[in-house]
Amino acid sequence: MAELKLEINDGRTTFAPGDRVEGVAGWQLDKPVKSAKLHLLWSTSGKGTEDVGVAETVTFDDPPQVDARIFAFTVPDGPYSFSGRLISLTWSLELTVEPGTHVQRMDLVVSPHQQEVKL
Amino acid sequence: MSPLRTLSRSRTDKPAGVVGKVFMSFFFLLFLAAGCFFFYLMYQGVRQTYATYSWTAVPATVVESDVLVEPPGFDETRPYLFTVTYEYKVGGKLHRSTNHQDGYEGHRDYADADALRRRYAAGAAATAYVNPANPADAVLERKSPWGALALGFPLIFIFIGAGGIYGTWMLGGKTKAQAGKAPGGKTKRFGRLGLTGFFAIFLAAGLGFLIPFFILPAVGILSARQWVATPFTVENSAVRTHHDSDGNTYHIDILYRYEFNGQTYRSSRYQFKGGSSSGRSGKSRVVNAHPVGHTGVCYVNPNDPSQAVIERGWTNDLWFGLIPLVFVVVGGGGIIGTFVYGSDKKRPGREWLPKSKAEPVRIDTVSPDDEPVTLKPTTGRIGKFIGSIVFAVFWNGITSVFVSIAVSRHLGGDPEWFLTFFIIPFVLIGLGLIGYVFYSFLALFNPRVQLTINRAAVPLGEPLLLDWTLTGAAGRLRSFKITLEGREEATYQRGTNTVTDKHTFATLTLTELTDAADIMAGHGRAELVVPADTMHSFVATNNKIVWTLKAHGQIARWPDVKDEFPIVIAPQRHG
Repeated sequence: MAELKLEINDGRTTFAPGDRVEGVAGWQLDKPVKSAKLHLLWSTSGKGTEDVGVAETVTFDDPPQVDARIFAFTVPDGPYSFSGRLISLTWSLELTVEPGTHVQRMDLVVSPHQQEVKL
Repeated sequence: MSPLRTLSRSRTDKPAGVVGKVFMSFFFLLFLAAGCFFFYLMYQGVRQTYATYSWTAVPATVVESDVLVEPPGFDETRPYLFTVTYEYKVGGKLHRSTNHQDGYEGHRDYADADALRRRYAAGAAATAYVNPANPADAVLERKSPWGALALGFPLIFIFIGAGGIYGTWMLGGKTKAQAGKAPGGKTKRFGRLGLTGFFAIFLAAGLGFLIPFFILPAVGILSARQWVATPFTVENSAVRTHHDSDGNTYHIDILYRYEFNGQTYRSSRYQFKGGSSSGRSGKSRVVNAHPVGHTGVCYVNPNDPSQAVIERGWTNDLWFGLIPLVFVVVGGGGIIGTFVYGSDKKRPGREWLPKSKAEPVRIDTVSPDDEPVTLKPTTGRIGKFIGSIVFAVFWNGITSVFVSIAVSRHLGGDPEWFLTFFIIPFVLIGLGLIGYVFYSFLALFNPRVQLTINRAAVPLGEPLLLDWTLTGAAGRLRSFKITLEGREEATYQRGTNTVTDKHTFATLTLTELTDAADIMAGHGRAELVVPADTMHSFVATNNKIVWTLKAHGQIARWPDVKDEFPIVIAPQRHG
């Protein structure tokens, strides 16, 4: 059974634009894979059809079946995490392996106010 | 390193909205089933119709040919029957046939039947298509293969149905990153193809009627200006009736004889407009004015003397041939709009921040980011007026067809009550649209608002400086107000419709004037600090945070001034 892990330094999940998101991405796979990818992305939810935007991607080619890698992203200046009556926007770190369908996702908050913007 | 707290989810994607997907699937299944059913029916007909395309071509000789006028048992709408006898050999045995074409029942126009007679004159060589299973069965001409294109119509429904089911269940991205990397990706391509198919139906239907009922007659009228005036004698004249369950239609049929370059020709074309229409009395007047033996002047094509027409000018009923243009515009515009405006224009970096459409005011500034800009309204008044006309014409054009049917049924003493009550809400909407056309026309004469702000994109927490100007009859305004409004816009599919819900989450007043002198001054300045704790402008395919400046001026007994100017509120400046 494959296992993917994401850990952020200091356990932070809230970041201001321009902050660094640093941590460790680890995996324990039951079969070899071609690559592992870590994405920093935002996605919407709510009334409207989901939109997704990938801010940055780090690719680990031909990774060992068991490994852990350090990652670092710079948080863009937007869009902010927010929650409204119709739309919510959430930032995430998403770790995937190819080929395969396993996903490890960690939600983040991106906002200059240490919490998501409430509309 | 201390134990790290992880707030993580590990999953394979779980299906969301299964009930909704089942309903959507059932909806698309209806499309698919209907498409398959009609495709099967049409395919059986096409297969039978075009079976002759697998027959063997053999040389044949025409023995005799003629055109009969109103033969016994003739179809009233096709009174000219081309008859032919021809011989051919198969396996050394001579066969004789009189079958011109499978399903042939005659021609509406004499000239078309006569063209066949001249092509297959006695003694002429021809090609016969022989049934290999029964050599006695043959035809001289096979039906045009273009008719098989009709199979495309049910195919569109099959595509929409199958594509919709596939898209509902198969096009969810396994990961958000896969969905985001090709924004829309397969989903968008599929949706675009589906929309194209939908609009293609409109376009094909529109062209199918526009070409024969307007374009071809108009081309004929223009070319007939060079045709030669020639005396004619009427041999037969009648009003032909096309019987239909929705009511009869009629066309003028006058068979006349004329001589051109020493040869005798016949034609039954009265005018270039084809088809049939209601209004028997007008057609009867024309027929009564052209009894058997009547002489007059027709116009003959000098390049092809078999073509002639009595009335070569423009007739008012030709304008009705433009009605299908609405469908052509909707269909063609929809296809273009799907590909032009549906394509994703990738902007590097801040794709989620809308681009300001404001125009810079050219003054010396320290930094281009601080350059004042003049805002453009979301929709111009002229655009609103023209758009309202187009939509009102489209809506009332379609509704009027059903209204005329209902009215004619009532006048004929055979009222269609279901149709009558069904059409009432559509008529009311149509009347409302006509009212809106007048409303938007009056609004064209309202005072104009011009807004200039201090920068193209105002960051959260920073001042928004606004200069406003009123041109035109500002004195007509009883009050004038400018507000900054922030709203969410969420777009989603509801069945085959695309719906956008909106919710205003912020309304901030910049200026509110009720004093006539202040309004009459015609200009002013306002300022506010954009709240720092709200959301900046955001645009994605389906979800948006939109900020606008709304100018509202009340005018007594007249449409109000209501203009909306989009602006960009940027994230806070940091660092």
